Amino acid sequence: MQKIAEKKQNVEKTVDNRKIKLSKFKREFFLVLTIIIVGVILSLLTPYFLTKGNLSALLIGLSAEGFVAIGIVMVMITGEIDLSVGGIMALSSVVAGSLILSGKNVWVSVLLGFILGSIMGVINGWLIGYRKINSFIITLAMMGMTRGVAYILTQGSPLAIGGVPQSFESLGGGNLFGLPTFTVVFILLASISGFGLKKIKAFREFYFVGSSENSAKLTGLDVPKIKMRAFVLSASLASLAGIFTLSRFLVATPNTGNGIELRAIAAAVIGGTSFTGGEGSILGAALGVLIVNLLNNALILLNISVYWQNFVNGLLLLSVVLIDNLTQKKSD
Amino acid sequence: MSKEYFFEGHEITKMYGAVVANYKITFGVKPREIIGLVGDNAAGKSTLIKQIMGVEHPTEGDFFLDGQPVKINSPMIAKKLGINSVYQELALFPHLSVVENIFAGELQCNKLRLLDWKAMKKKTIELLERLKIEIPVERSIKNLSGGKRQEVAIARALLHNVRLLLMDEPTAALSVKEREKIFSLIRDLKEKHGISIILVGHNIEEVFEVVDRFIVLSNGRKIADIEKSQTSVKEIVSIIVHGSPVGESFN
Repeated sequence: MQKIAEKKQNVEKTVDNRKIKLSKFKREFFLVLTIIIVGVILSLLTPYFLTKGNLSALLIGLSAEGFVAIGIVMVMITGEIDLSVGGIMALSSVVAGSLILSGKNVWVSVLLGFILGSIMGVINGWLIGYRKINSFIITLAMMGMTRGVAYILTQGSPLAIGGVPQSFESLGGGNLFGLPTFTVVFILLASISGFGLKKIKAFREFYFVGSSENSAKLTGLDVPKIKMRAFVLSASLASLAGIFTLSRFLVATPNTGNGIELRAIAAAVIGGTSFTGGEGSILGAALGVLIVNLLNNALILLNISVYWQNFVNGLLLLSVVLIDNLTQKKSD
Repeated sequence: MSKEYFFEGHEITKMYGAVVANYKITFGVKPREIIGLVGDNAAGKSTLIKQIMGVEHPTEGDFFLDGQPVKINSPMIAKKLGINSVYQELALFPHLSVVENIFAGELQCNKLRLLDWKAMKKKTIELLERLKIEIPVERSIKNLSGGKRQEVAIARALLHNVRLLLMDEPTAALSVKEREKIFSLIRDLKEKHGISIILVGHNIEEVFEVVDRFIVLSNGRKIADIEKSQTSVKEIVSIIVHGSPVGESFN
């Protein structure tokens, strides 16, 4: 009798653990389903959706947002927010572009642009992690400053860079394994980050800080250092997105990454990243990026004015937050 | 230093600017002993616990382990010395699983320096079985009852070899049934696992059931250190309320 009871208990435990694992993938499953449905509807509404040119443009277009969304997810998991990503993207792109135009080596220029963008992350991380200042305010200020510097350097005009090596041009404009190189790098970064959040201690610690900052302190975690890590990663990825965008258009413009923070945050939240921290996944955010870009692509293909894009992105973010809020209350 | 104590605090003082949270508190802990650290609100109990755990650092005074002076600069150092704690706020992570909560702050990696979830899950199951705690190890803390959360917090504190366990209000906000289970677990920790415990509590009647000795704090100072066999609930309450037993001038 005791053995039967033990067996029954073990079966119940296994079923319970399977249920927990399945519930973790529920959102991703729902997002994939949404993407398929939107894709099918679009392919029925317009013959241009499934053309190679459109799909390629869609993939290249979503890659920059993808880079930024990975960083945003990391920061949001720690319970903070990073609004400076668009500004940092523009700053890195413009600094690298200006240096190339002044005759400096392309790769040295790109490296300096990238390092400068990452330093903005160090400043964000120090002020937010160590000085304990609200991340909304700090990154809002950083957003204004970085984009401001980009405008000062260019005097508001785009800087066209020519005569760059083919290897640099191929970063944003080339193809690899039949896909745009930009997209391949995004997939690679997303895979590494997704893996890192599950299997690498330095990344996993983001969840502990976001779930309960006080508990993290009491268990001996170095909270400021962990927050610093997240902001540096976010800025570095935004910086990299700026460099790839420069390579794609071969033009450094202070408008680079304009409004990207809204789309990246929307993508992260659609993918299940919580505003209050402790929750989020790279796979979810990547699917969120795809949904945001599918909708924007639909607006273009269906000849709806581009001026509707910001409204649709904002509405999408609002709807997701509202649905999350309602389901959260229901489960509570 | 007294030989009967394995852990001692000597004239521990903690100041926050001009505010004195603890003043020259001297105490000792014997092996296999449960001490009730009691006192009114703002008596300095939690501050003392946080200093023993290395979360806060004494302005003056020293700690001794096995007669040797020790600097407890962080919770990590406290854990290495065999001291761990269960805080009033439990210090749990609501979004994370039981396994992650048990290994919080000390996630284990394999040879490739990747997180070894399999090993951590196995150790968590073994730990919970040893303590006779039944909880699905992959469940999020936010989906557990108050009593189960408390059990996870206690189990986490016992992950490594612990000689001294600090428990801050372990039964606050628990049902009668859950409270009984936690007290039974506390008795087991002392009797079966040989762990000494400093138990912070408000409800003296409850604490009286499990402790061997009382240390009473008032306004950051130690005002009494009495064996349970030599006192009563009434006397302890009187010391807390009046600063001395009724009808006596207590120093």
